[in-house]
Amino acid sequence: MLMTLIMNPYILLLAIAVFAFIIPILSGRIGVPAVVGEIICGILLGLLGFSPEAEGRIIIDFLASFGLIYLMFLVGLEIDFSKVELHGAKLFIFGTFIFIITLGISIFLTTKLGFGLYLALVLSTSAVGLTVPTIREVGLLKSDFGQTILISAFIADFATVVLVTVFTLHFKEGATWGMFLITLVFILFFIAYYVGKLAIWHYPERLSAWFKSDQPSEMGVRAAFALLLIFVALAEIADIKAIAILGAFLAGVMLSLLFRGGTVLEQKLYGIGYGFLIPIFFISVGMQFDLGALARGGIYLVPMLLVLAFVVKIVPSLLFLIRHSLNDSISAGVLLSSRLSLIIAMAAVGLELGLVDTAMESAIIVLALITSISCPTIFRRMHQRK
Amino acid sequence: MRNVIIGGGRAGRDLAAQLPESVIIEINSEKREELSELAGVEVIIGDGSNEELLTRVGLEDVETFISLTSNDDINYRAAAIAKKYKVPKIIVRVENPEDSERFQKLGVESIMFPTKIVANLIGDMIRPGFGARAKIRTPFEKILVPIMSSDTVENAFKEALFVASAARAEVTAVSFPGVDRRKMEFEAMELGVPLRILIEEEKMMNIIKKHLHYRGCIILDIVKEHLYYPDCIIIDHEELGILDKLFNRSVVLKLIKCASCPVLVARTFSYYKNILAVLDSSKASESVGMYAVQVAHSCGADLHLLILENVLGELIEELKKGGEKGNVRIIEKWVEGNPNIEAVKEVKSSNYELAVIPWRGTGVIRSDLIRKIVNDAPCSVLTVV
Repeated sequence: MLMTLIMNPYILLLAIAVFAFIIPILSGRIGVPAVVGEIICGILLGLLGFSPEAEGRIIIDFLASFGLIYLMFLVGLEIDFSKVELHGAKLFIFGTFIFIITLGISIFLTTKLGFGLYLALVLSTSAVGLTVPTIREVGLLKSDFGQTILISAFIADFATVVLVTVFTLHFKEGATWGMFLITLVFILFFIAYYVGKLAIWHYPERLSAWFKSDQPSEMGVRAAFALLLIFVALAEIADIKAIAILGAFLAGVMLSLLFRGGTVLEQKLYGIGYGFLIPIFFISVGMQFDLGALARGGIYLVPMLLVLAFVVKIVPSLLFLIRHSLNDSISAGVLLSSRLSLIIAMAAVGLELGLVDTAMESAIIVLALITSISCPTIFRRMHQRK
Repeated sequence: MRNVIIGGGRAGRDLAAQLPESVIIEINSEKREELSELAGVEVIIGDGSNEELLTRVGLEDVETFISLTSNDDINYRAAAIAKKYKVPKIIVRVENPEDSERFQKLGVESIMFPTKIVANLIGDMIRPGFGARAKIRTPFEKILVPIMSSDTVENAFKEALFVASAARAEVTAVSFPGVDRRKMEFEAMELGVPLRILIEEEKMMNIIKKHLHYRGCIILDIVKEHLYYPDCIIIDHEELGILDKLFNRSVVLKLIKCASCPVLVARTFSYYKNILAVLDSSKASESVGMYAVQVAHSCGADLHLLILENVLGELIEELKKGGEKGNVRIIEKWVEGNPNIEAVKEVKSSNYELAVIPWRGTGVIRSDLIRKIVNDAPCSVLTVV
């Protein structure tokens, strides 16, 4: 009887929804990000044997997979290119340098240690979603230092998503076809962006209503979903997961480029994502977390990954010494070392494509859990002490 | 080439004294003697709004038709007749600003509101703390106009003269040798604006046209050689192709980027009646608001504040106080929804003759939107630093 109930997809959804509701309250009290709580909750559910089968599995897997795509969409939405434009080429070049050095060290170290290029890319990510609130909290959001860290995080996340797509396409489909698809996605992106800009200029009256809070048809949300799903559907037709990830990310970047500041629509989109789809993805990640694989070898990978994760970010951050103190430079490196949603998404994609094994995926998730809690805390301490 | 002035009051008489080859039409026959003393001025006694009289005077070769009576109805009828006979330039005095709409519908491009401008001017003089912070300053004192082509004389230069006459500023034009200098001087004189024309060689002007920003800011560097430091540049609106827009190849935008003073892109070519100030939470909003109040005060215009996000309450209060001091009616509009779309909607609404915006986006209003407004807005655009 219990098993039948568990297998029912609505009971499963109810369980996830209840946990998704309780977790932020608990994690807020403990002082860890809600995502961490969701993954741990998923792990506990997995340990309790709360694993969906058959019909339930299909539904949960679909929602989790859409949650991942939606997560990438929101990561894109968080990238604010006006900051890059505002601070001119200097900060952009600085951030790009930091990323290139990070990637270089990553590739060097992972190759030396006998791991593939994919891990190097995964380790080059940052966590814009953690960086922004942490910098805001210590009152550095408007400072030159804070903006440099932010732009470095934006560039790291943007470049990693693009490079991971290029890499996986190259790996799966061959260089020419892969490059063709990526180019096509970018051309589509620029066309859609240009058309969007023209639409804003020529039809502001019509578009204006989409962003008002009293819009009964929620046209803005519908348009955002249509935009997101154009890329996802194209990727599904081409049967290439990486394109869906890049497409969703670029759809988010485009919305941010065209409509940043329209808080009502952003809040609605965040609400749908963080209120429903994304917790399902993270709880599902936790439920599929392979404790066995972690115990068999993944656990030994964790310390190594931790060292790598900090080294590849702190060493390039010494470039901050040009204009800032040693304490500031190291603290910037520490904050950029925090990883959360993006690295977990990348690990999930890597596992699906067979680029990382379950032990490595589990270790990456543990790395995300540790750095997402510790790095912002260390950064705050280093600045509070001052 | 003749000028016809309707109304032989003080303003009409003073203007006729500056403009030889003028015909002055005055209804009061007692003024005939006094007006006849003006050298080179023909005096006709009669109703300036009478079509028969005006056709007798002959409007075919009239260059400028100026109606300066204190009666809006007479000025309206006179302007309508001048319009009918296709007089190229019609300037009208409007006593009641609420009447301005019918003059605009008539197609009169140059409308002045002397009562409001004079009231504001006197207000400035008698207000306590004259010359100190309490006074509403004039927005500009030295206006620079690069004459890019002979069209500029009809466009940016004309708008510069209107702004200068309202703000009591002087205008310096940098021009190529072949420009119609006499016409420019005549127009400046009509509006009582001190004018200086600096003639540059054709070769240098070509460089200026192509690269206003060349090696820093060439147009500013050139006038610097004449020890001239403008506090506003008024420039023609620029027609851009798709490729120019895609690759940001706009001379005006480059000038805005390199100039350290406000730049006004001219599209209205008349006095301003409604001014829009676009405000966000950035620091630049202080300058935007301040310039907007000053220009509105000088021109006797209404000021519409488009508030895109939570601007500091103090700023709005300060602008309101400034508006009160300067006799400027301030209308606040708080935006709900997407700020950039709302800004586009408002700028494109054709309700304003001038939009005041920051020169780049540091708040919620984005730089690419600012570029778009500068390039394509239907009204004049003042970008402030």
